[in-house]
Amino acid sequence: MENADYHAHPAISKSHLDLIARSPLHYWARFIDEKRIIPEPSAAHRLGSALHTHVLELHKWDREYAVAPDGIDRRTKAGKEAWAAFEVDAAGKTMLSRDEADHVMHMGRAILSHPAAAMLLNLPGEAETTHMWTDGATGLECKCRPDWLTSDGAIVVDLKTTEDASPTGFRKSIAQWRYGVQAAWYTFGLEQATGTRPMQFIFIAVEKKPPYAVAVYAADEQMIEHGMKTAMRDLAKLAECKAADRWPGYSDQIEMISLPAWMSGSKTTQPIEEIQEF
Amino acid sequence: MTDSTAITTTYVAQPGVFSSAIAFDEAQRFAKALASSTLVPQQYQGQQGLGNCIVALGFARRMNIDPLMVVQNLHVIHGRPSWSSQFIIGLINGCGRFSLLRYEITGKGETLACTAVATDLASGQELRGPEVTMTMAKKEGWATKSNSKWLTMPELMIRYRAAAFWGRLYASDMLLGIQSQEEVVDIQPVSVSESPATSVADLNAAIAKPAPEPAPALEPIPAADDDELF
Repeated sequence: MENADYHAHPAISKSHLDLIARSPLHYWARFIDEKRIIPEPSAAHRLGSALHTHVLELHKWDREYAVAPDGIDRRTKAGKEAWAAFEVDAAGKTMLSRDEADHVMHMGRAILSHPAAAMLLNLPGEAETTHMWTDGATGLECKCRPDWLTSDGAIVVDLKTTEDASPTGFRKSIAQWRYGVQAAWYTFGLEQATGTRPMQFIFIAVEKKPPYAVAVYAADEQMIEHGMKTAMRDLAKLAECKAADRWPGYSDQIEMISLPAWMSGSKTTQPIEEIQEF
Repeated sequence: MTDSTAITTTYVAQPGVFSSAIAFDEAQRFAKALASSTLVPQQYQGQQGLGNCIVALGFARRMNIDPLMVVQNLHVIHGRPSWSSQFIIGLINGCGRFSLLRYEITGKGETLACTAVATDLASGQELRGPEVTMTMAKKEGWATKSNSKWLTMPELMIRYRAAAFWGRLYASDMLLGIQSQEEVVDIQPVSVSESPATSVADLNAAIAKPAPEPAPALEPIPAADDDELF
């Protein structure tokens, strides 16, 4: 299954869970509303996808990406012609600027130069495989698509671009982007779909800017457990909304609001745990 | 045949070569001399065989037998030390605690079965080992391996196995827990852990991969010593 087909498939993915967790209204607007407009992928998203292709499926690069040539002055006639020629060539492909492409190459090189990352990606395995299963509790069809799954099904590897790949920085990303939910969703989903529960869910985190530092993290039990609880809660909420066809946003009433817990003086530093409460 | 093999030992355990620095030092000097001999099997020869010689000296000391006898009969097969079956039979016959081992054979071909029997001289009690059958050899997979000697010489193999089992039960102190070389060939350990190479520590160990130095002490010889068997 191609990437676009995977994303278009209505089965529940981790990003579905993210949206329903934000509010059913957000989910409805993105996936149910008949007049919905699919947003263009953001620059960050485009860069992330390009990195995936570059590192995991390089053979698809030329088919999927077009890099704008350097030094074209589109104010001149020759420049206009050169650009038009490029646009014809790039039809149907994702366009990257020269700068963006350079970033992708540097990130890719940094990943493959990292001993642990290189070792993992050299294990026999397959990139971007789609797995489907039906959730027993809700009857909903679910899906996941690991970046890299080893042939024995024991290890899932996921590439992440980030501003800060340090342990502290990546913990914040884990909280903000719910990577724990992803680790749990994939671990659980692969077990349902293939019968083999992966032993490790491993993040390869690469910084988006020079020096493109790379770190490799394995999700611990606690993260998977917490992620699983969260995922199941979200899935139950989604099933409930679907059954009732009711998609509320935030509260209809006036709610009290106070300082975030980390500012309220009960704790002296900004603890990660607070952010992890999603 | 093998019944005539008797190794006379007075079974008095001596302090081991690892019991003190002096004992170890002494053993090292012995080992050097042993390793320089061309009469010892190849895995005990030279600088590479020095470690094996020390181990063999340890056995010799504990069993109170000649070190040369140990090196001639202690083989490393699939990375594990093992006694030749003849040596096990010789030990039992020569230790003075038991009568000569007898083999009670029943059946033929597929129904062939063998029980090793000896008498405990102190009590006069008859000691019977477990019966070894061809069915057992098949079910355990001993007789189904390619080139298995169970296919070509079952009568001998069944006696060896019966003797090894008997020794395991009644003379385990002399065998020091070591199997016969035929057993090691037939029975190999299986890994029972689910996925041994996927803990984070294992994965990290896989990152730096300079080719591991082959450990000379554990280098297996290709198969059971044919001279021994025929």
